[in-house]
Amino acid sequence: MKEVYVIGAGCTPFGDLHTRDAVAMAREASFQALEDAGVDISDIDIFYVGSVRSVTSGSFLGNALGVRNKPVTRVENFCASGMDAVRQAAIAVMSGQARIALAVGVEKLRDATRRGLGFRSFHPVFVFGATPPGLFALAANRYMHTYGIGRETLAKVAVKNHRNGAKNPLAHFRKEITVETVLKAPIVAYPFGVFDCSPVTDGASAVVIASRDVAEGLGKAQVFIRGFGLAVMHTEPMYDPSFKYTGFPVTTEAAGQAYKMADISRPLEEISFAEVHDCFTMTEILNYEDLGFAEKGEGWKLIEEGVTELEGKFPVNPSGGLKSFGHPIGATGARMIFEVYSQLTGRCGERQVKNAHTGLAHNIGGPGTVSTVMILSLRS
Amino acid sequence: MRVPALKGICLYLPAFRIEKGLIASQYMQRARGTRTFRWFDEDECTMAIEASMGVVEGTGVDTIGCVIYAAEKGPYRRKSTASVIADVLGLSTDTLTVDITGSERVSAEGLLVAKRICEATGQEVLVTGGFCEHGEPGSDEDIHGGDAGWAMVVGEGGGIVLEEFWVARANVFVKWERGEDTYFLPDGFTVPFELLPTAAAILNRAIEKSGASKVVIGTSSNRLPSQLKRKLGDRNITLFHHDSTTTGVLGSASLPFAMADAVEKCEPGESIVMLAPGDGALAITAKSSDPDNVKIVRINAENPVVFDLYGLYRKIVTYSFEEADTSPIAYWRDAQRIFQLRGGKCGNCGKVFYPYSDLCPSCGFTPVRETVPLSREGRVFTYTTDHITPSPIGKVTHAVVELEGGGRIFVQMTDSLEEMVEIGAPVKLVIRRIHSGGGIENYGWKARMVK
Repeated sequence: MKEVYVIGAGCTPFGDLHTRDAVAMAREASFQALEDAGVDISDIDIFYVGSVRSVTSGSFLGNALGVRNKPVTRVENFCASGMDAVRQAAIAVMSGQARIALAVGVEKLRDATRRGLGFRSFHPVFVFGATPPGLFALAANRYMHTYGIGRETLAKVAVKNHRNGAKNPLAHFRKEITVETVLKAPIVAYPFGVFDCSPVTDGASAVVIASRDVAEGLGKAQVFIRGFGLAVMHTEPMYDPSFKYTGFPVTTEAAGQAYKMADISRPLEEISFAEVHDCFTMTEILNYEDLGFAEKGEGWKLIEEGVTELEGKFPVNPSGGLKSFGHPIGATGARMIFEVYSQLTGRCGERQVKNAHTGLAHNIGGPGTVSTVMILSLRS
Repeated sequence: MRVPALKGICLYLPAFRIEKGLIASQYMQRARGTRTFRWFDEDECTMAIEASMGVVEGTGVDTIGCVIYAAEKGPYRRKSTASVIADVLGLSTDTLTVDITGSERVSAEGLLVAKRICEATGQEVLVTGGFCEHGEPGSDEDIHGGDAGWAMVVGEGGGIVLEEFWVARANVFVKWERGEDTYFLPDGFTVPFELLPTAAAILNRAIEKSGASKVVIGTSSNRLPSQLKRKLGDRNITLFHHDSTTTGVLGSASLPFAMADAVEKCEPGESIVMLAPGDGALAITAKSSDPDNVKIVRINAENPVVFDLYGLYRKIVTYSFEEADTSPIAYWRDAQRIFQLRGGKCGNCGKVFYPYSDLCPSCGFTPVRETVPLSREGRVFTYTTDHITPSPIGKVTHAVVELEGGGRIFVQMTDSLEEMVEIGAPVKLVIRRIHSGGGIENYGWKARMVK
């Protein structure tokens, strides 16, 4: 398999971007990434745009970037859309189809105000009225019941991620919070209160990927894509009578693919830090277990023992995560690659993970329906 | 010669009550007692279904050849409610379904048609109905009305044999003009002049012919029975009617409620006259052969939740969620899967799952051919109380329920203002209105806590 490199990345601030529409956000992030990579838009051979509800087709990049008569594909895979776009770009370069590829993730959610993302019905009555927090809360209540943890443990995930996000100039929420704040907040979907949930956010992020030849030619052969995985199952895990609700098998599967490709067998030791999909506090703890950072039923100990703090042995979500950085759905996966790239290239200032050589990024969507994992490493 | 008889009665009341005085006081009026009110996902159809499922529970539906929906009104103008009920009960598509709507005597009419069908075919007939009355804020219906569902099974071998009938038509009665024809008779209203002589005349004839000692009057009015009693001379008759003090006026559902009371006090060999007012009156005589052989089921008769918030009560009974992205075609295409509580059984891994699909959601095997009936009872596997899901009470609890004997179902919990359920808590599945999008009532399964 050909080695491919991340040679540039860009990201808009995340938040209520009322002055910018989806086109403007995608443009900002993409041109930042191109500038970072030191290439021109005309150098890009192939484009992928990841979005769940802000983009209809590839022609969006015709509007946003002035792309003319080049391959552009819109990628949609729930909350994994952004990272799947990066994955597609990597595959395009690996295959030799393209020398340089651009992946951009974008989501515009804040133009119309609503409570959370609302709900969408795929059927006249089945699963009617279920919302993203509600669906993840099903797993939270089952996990808490099975392993005997309380809301306080979940709250510590939010506290940690807010602490990291406060150091991140691009984050949606840059304010530290306390466990008490999390526990006292109004309930969204029990056991999740407002501070257990990632916010509804606008934003875009872009990544430029190039072949080894191109990267070396540009003097940018620093961070390479060491492995990735994508696992998808059906949309309604609640229909599966064997679904345990104490973890998401898609994550384990996607991670397995990525670890195999990256030749990683002891993730906690071989990886320096991770950006994981903390759409809700419980999700981050489940991710620890599903990604192999902890045994099943013991993920909560990592947060209780401070292992995943920025200064801990294995920092998770140094960016602030979805919780604090924000979660513009289709942008999030690309934003994680932006963060891992920035950490590995030592650009993260106050939130810099020390001696970072390998970073993992992970999305989950559905919930439990789709997961992507991508591992980036510094070239040795 | 077939002998149609009453085999069972199920009476369903919603779980909720509100003080009539609380409602009345908002409009500077007074009233005593409580009224029942439906939860926001209930209507005449779902309450009839609750009672229908209650009356067939334990005995099954294999012998039922006909479903009659008999009520003042139903949820649809041009769709058969009895068909919805037959679907939920899992009856075959060639089951005769009949809707009878109109006057307050409609429940007696349903019983009469059931008797005729049973005589002609020997089949068991399920007669069922629902009554909902709320009207405008501050109206008599708002204060004095009530909500209920009922179901009766008529067939051979039942305990109360249906015999003869007498009808007296009078097409002037209460407020009959246009669509406002609700025949609403709250307590304290004067009984319309036509009824007493008409009803008394046929009642006297029915009593003479049958030698009845019990009369069941299909009304919730406390005044009508006493006025009728005076017209019956010095006969030794026990009158039964539905007392509206705790439930509110139940319209055509009053007859089955009163009938259940009479059957419970009935001796073998005794005769009963059922008298239903409405467009004149209809009387049916019945002879008790084995009253203990009439199954009587009461749902939510005890321990109601009493509301003390008038505003929330109005919000609940007028709530209708219509913004859903749905379609009558998609709903029709899936009606069997939605209503019939049957799961798929995987030919490969053996797991039972719901809703049925020809692809197993657990192992991916296809084609799954076998379906199996699922239990309506189960326990909560996991849950959440979601404050974003639209609802008049600002939250909805969703639960994954493991059903007794296998299979899982993902449903909304209903009949509760409470925040949470517990993992392992016992629940029972019920049919409710999931929403009203696409111009139709989208009925489906929900669950309520088993107390």
